[in-house]
Amino acid sequence: MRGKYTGGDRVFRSLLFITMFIFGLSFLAILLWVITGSMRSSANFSKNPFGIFDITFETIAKNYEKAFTYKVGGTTDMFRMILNSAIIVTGTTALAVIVPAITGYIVAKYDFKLRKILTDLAVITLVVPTVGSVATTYRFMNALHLIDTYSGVFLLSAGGFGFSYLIFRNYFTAIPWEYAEAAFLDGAGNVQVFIRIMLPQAVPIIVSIAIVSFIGNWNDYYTPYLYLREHPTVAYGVNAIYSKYKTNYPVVFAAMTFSVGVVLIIYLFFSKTIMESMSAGGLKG
Amino acid sequence: MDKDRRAEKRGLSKKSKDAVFIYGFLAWPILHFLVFWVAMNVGTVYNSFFEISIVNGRTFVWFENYKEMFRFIFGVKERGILNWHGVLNSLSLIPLAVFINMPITLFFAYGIYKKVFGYKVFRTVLFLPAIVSTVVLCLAFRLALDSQKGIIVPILRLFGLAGDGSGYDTGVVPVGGWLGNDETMWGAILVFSVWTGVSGNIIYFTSSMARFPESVFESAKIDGATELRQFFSIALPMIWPTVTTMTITLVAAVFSWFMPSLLLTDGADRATTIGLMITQTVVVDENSTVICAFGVIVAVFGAALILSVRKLMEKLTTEVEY
Repeated sequence: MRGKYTGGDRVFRSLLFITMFIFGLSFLAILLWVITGSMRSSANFSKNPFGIFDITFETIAKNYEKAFTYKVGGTTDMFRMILNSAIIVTGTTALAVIVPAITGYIVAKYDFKLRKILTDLAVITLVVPTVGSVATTYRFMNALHLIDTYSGVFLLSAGGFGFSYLIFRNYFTAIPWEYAEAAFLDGAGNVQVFIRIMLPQAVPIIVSIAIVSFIGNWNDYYTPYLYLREHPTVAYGVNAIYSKYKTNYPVVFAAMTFSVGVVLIIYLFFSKTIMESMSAGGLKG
Repeated sequence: MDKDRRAEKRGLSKKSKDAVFIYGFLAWPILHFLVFWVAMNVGTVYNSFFEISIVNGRTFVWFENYKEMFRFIFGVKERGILNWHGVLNSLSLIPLAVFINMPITLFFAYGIYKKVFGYKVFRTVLFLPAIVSTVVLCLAFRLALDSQKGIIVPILRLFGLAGDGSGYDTGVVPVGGWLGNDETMWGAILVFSVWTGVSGNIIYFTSSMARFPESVFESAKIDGATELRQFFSIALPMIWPTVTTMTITLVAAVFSWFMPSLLLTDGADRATTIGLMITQTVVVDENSTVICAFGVIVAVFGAALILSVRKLMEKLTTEVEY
């Protein structure tokens, strides 16, 4: 191996390795601290934040019991928050796949009057920071009585021209149109071609977008913070548990560990699919 | 299917059938865009010229909200939520994202592409912050930095850099801790955003690099180009479109960026951001139209800035097709 690289390359590679190692190690170390901390007693933790040999079944059970039974806002415990998260995540993830897939497909494969405008739409939404319109949106949602409702959150997330639209559009552009043309000659309709011929070829990117948006929605704090205060989700609940147990780190860690554990499992299962399918479409705006 | 058969019976051509399909399926996304993007933004501009109160309803106030907003931002008038620190803080995130986070991410992606020792592990581990929620990352960072029970201070103490935690002899640790001290809290947040900012976008770069043709690098190697040289003269130009899109996304995200400020400092005045000032105002008073005026300024200024960045980056290099 030694002779493979020149001196300069060896220095460059070492520097890259060291920086990546420092970043990687810091992530793993903190994660390990949180996970092991969630299993220790509060008293032991206060004495020594680094210890790991004082973990017992009782200390684990005690922390997780506290984290899971604390009622956010006096009404919602962790199990209810998991249910809230499950409802929100299922709905928003489905919408994040279906709507952009349709818009991305049509803009990529059909020629029509509004096409040019719609192609630019994603760029416009990227370029104009509309954070200031949140006051107006909030008032609008309030007028429709959609604050603190699941349907309100679904409605907000049912757009078709966001980031995943870009990815779908680029992915569909790269898929050849020949099969579709053959199917049209056989008398297939537009819907049929889309569902039976084009969608199956896009399964990898659909899975990726679904996972990425699942993770994003599971982790989302902004939406429940603003639009769903009465129906806290797990991400919101973790911070609420911190506010309650500020000095009892192990309990806070237990809530954090649970919240991370869910996405970690999903990620480890699907990381290969995500990595592979992202390479097909690319990200050119 | 059924719809098409019916269409055929009515004697519609393929072209009209296409139109029915296209606009039928695009109707919802277009409507959604018109309502939640166009109408909300137009509404924000409209509201910015009014004052809304529960008692008096809507009153047209010309540019009063804009004047008021500038008074708050430039400190002529005291107001808890709106202040100039927030504007400055947000803007300081732009050079950080473009000149620190982006290059580190690019180099990491390149290292993975070049199969640096341990690249398979790095590929997974460096992506971790992207899948862990911001809430958890913030809490972990906040608790790790805590002077009493965190792990950073004891490590510094080992090197004699921190006091024993009693009294004011705190060494390099500021009074109140980094996140509790007015002078250091924003700096600590910047450190946090470098620490976690590297992650998520790495996937777009590694995947773009995965499509590079090997042959280009092979011949560069034969010509004696170092790997660092190859990065600047081959990899970077080829990946430039992705870099441009990513940079625009990062700069745009700066304006709504607020979670770490809220979760690390509970939204302290000195650590606030544009996004946090807007969000907190809405939470406190949804009828605030001063915040609409602020939003309009942010949108106009932000769009101009982002467009300039885009223009500049497109000028910097000509696209390489491969």
